[in-house]
Amino acid sequence: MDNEGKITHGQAAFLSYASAAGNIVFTFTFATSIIGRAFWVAVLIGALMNIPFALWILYLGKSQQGGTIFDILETGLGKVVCKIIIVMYLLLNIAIAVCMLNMFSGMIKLYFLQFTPTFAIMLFIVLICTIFANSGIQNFARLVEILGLLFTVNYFFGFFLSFFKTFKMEYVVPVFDTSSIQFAKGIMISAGTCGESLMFLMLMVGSISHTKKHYWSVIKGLVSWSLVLAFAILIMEGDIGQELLSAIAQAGVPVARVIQIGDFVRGLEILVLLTYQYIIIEKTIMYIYSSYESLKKLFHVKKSIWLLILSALSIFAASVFVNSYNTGYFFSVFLGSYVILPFVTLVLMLASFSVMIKKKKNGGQLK
Amino acid sequence: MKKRTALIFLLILSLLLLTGCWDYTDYDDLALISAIGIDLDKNTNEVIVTLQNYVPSTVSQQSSGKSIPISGAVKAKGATFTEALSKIQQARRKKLFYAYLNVVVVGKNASRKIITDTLRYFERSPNIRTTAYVAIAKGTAEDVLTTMDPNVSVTIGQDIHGMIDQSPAAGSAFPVSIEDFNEKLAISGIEPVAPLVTVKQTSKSKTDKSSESTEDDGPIKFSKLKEGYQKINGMAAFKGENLVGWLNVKESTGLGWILNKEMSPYEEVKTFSKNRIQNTIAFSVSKSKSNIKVELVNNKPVITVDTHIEANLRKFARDMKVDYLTPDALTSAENGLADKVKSEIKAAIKKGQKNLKTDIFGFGFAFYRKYPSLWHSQYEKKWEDTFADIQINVNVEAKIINTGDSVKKFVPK
Repeated sequence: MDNEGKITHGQAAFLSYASAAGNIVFTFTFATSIIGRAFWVAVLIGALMNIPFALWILYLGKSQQGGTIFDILETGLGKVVCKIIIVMYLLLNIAIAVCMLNMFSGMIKLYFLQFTPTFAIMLFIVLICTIFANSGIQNFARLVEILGLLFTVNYFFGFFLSFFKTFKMEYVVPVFDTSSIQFAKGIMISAGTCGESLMFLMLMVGSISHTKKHYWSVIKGLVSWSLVLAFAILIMEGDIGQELLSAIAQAGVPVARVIQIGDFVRGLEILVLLTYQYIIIEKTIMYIYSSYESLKKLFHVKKSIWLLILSALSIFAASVFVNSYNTGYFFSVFLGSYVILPFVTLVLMLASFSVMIKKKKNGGQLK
Repeated sequence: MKKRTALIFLLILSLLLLTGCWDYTDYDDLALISAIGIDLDKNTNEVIVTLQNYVPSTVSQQSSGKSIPISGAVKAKGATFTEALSKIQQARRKKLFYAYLNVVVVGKNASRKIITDTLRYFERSPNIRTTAYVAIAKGTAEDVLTTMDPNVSVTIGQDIHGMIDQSPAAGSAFPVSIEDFNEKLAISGIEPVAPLVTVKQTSKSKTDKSSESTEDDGPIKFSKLKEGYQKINGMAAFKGENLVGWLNVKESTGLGWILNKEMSPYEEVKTFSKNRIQNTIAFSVSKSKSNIKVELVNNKPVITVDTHIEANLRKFARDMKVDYLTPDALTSAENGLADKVKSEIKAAIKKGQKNLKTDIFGFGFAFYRKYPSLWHSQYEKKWEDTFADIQINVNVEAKIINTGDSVKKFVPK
């Protein structure tokens, strides 16, 4: 088996882990206001709910080793359907990227670079990420492994220090003070927002040499992320209470600002900001890569620097056009609540249908 | 060639993006604010803001010849808090910078009406740390921030911050940050409190009337400092957004015991004789822990506060008829300490429940944690009324951990 351009088990796990760490790291506060104290449990369940979808993608990938979901769609349903889906995917991917880039730039501008124009922050991130995306999935997967590890360590190093003084157990218990409808709604929002990982997995599946052997790697990545995110939210809730947590923008940074140990350690936002910096780099690489791969498929080209630039430019231009933390935040909530998971389900159903047609054509055998 | 050109282009672009010039501010161009005072003019309903900032390079010569850094105070009046701040900025060469803020002092009138709006401003503003303390002035915040102890060589803000830090050791109060205050404002079943700061001026105001600006948009006043001192001697209690009253030192200590605020005051227990100097047992409290238990008895909430105190014996009374500090003698002293702490807790409860009718103890919050659905369905809306009539039991257990350097009563010849 030719493993050129294919990712390892570890890389598959880290890519799954990092791809789930998308807009949810900012928008979880919105769902906190719906569910209340039980939100960290809803996030845990919601993120885990992506696993069956991920396995579904990997199972479909088995039918056409080395092919992405778009390749599978094209084989069974033809070019037109495939191109329609690619255009939808492209638009959704850009929309998600724009939300995240706006939220991150808004956060940087609020706390650290108040007079730097937002476009400069966005341009710098997009520029770096385009270079990494150009290097191919194998290379940026190595970077994602390092950054994934760093952001997790940073996140918890910052928040663990809150256990000395800031964390209050009474802000966490009782956990289930919510109605079942609200709880279900919270699960759906978090499942939808974490569904970003599935969109990336649709392309990543083409870079997996043995999809069957990678089941466990992908599950490990998604389970790890759901645990990390749920635990981080639990700590934040214990630090400031769900009443204030549900109102804050800028996610973990304002929470890290209240952590205090003695007179000299006042606020650990720099650690949490670094975490967000690592996450945005990883995710923007993935967004650009996903757009680039879809454009390549759309125009049937193997490699084109102009399409890469077009992918990066479209994300950058749309982000500069929006230029608002709040628009990014609420649009991301909308996408997570109503768009991402239904879109993923639609694509996977069409892909399954495509595989069935292909099987039928081959007399029940997949070739 | 193309790659080299692209690389050079990227390097030039990075030079432009990474210099950080947009956000460059010289340290010398910042006016570091140490304390903010907020008052409300009752007649005009205008907000009066007093800012007290670090002026490290300026020293004043006191009559004693001793040089101490002075910290200037400037105040302005505006329709809103931000308008007043803007007016101060108009009269300041340096940019007002709040990252070093130590304390926010709120005057009595402002505490009754505008404290929430003002503190929410701090919470939303990224350049103000919500770890700064809140203190409530019995008079005006301006008086507090324009009075300086000539023997203290730090800013008034730092001085008050230090006093609040040390207040649990005196039993007079405990620190409350902006964040703590906001949390209590947001959570139902618990009301906010804040340390009470009082001021005693030992010299008359030296404010030069000519220093008052006569601008059309309102006066900006540069206050000269008056000699005197501040004191943290109690807590201010709120009901919702409004100040409702004060807790004295004894009541504040009791509140601290209930809320687990790491109080470590000296406690004294009088024995039998009248001579207090000779016949007092003194303790230094090293540890305390309280548990609030909630039960429903005949469908009515009953609260039980269980407090455990650990203390060191610092002085034994002369009239105790024992030579050695035996376990029996210690038990007797422990009972005395437990009674003392119990009386402080009861005093706090009486003040909060009967006089001020505000649940500063978080009994409602404890009830919610035990019976969340019952809280939402029956008690949350009418807790204010229910709280005033609930039965509250207090149990205190005290333990003397050591008796210092001696196990025997000192008997002078």
